[in-house]
Amino acid sequence: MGLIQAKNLTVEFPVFTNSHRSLKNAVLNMSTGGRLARTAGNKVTIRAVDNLSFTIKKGDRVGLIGHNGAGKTTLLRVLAGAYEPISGYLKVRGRIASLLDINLGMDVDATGYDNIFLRGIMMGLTPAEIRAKTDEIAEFTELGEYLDMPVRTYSSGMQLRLAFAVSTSVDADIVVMDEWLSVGDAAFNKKAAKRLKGFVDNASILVIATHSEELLKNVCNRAFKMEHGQIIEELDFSSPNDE
Amino acid sequence: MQEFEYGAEGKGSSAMRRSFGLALSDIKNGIKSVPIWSVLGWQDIKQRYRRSVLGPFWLTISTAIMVAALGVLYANLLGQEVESFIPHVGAGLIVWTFLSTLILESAFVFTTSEGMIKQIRMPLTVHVCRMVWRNVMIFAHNAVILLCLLYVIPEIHIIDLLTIPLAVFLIALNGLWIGLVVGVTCTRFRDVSQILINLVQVLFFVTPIFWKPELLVDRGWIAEYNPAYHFIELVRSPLVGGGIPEHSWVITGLITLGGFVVAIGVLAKYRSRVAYWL
Repeated sequence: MGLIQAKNLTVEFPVFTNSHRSLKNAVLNMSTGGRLARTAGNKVTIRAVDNLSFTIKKGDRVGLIGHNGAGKTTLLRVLAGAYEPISGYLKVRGRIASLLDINLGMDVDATGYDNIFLRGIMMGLTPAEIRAKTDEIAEFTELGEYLDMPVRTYSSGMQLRLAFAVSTSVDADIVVMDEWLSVGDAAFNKKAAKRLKGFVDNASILVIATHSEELLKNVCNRAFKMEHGQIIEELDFSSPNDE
Repeated sequence: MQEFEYGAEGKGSSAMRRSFGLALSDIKNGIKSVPIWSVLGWQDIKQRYRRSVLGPFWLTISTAIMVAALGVLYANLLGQEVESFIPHVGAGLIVWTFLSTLILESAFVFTTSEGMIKQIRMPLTVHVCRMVWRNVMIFAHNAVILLCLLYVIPEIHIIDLLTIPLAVFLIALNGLWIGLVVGVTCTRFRDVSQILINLVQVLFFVTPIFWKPELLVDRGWIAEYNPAYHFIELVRSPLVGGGIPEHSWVITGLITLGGFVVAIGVLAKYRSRVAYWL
């Protein structure tokens, strides 16, 4: 049920220095044409995604590769629906799970259970759906009675387990990820890797930004090589886990 | 199943019409997302008052002390009767706190939700509803004082009092458009929030809260042209036996309508840019 279609997709960022943030300078810029106009007038924009056209179909596992600043994360945010393109066409069909920052919305003073609920709400689950999943999430984290304690008392590894477990509990058609997640100590990491694989396998589309060649080989069947916001090369692997 | 689409070609609708449509559906879908904003708004309150036994009732207590102390002081200074002055100050101060917090928190309504806005597709209105809901609940705690004031008030007209919840709803509704307009503006221009703090402070002094509008004598316009005065009157007038202030209802009703027109305009033009300004 997943589909992503883009035509001439373009995203531009305004870059504000402090003077651009200031209303005074913006007003002065309207009324005077002198020296001040230069500070407020030269609005710098960065074209982070430049004229991209692609179609990602059901079953596709797309890796985004490229240097830092090539536009990978921005593209992920656009696909997640957070950034709206300034021009071009984009159609995304399917329920999206965005794993860009799995710690989003954690309240360290609330208990583990409260955080499962909060995070679930943010991911678009209904209260009933979250309650139905809570036991499974709790069991996976192996945190036991700690879940009744404030998250403040957790070690960072424990916090990550919790965030990871909730984030991977939704049923998504499209998964958007920035690097493959890995959590916990060796034993737990194995379990987490299995869960993440199951989560991704359930989704019909995966788009992941990565620097790892190994991941590309093992998981992806396509890759976009990005530079300066453009796809300079599209790679097609005949992946072993292709349909 | 979810779906979204940008820049769809040719459907016979102009880009402008489409952006107004998107602005309207942002507001509509935002309000409809009750589970999200109610949970998050309540969480904000829990977070603020965690580990305190009385929780938000600390606010009630401090408001009560302020009303009692300043009510008596100003009644003496201005030569007013304490019994009639305390309800005036109490109702005025509580509604003012509600209104001014709505305005001031509007400035940061999007900057404090930066993480969510940049990662999750969600109507901007959800974040505003969260802020409004949080303040409605704080108002509800303060409203305990209003109930206590009913003991002091000599004459009670039940029908008049029934308009008070309606008035609170109208103020909350205004919080929504203020949140959208001020929120978008302050996200783009970070120093507007500083000006706003100043303006709200000045507004406090020119609004009849610690003094009665009758004191203005022939300078009645100071109250008449002050929107905050009319919003306060909606709640205060029935409480102090002034009846239902029809005039203020008309004015605040018009402000609400006008405000939403502006909010829809702002949203249509800048909604898609807010994420980039964060």
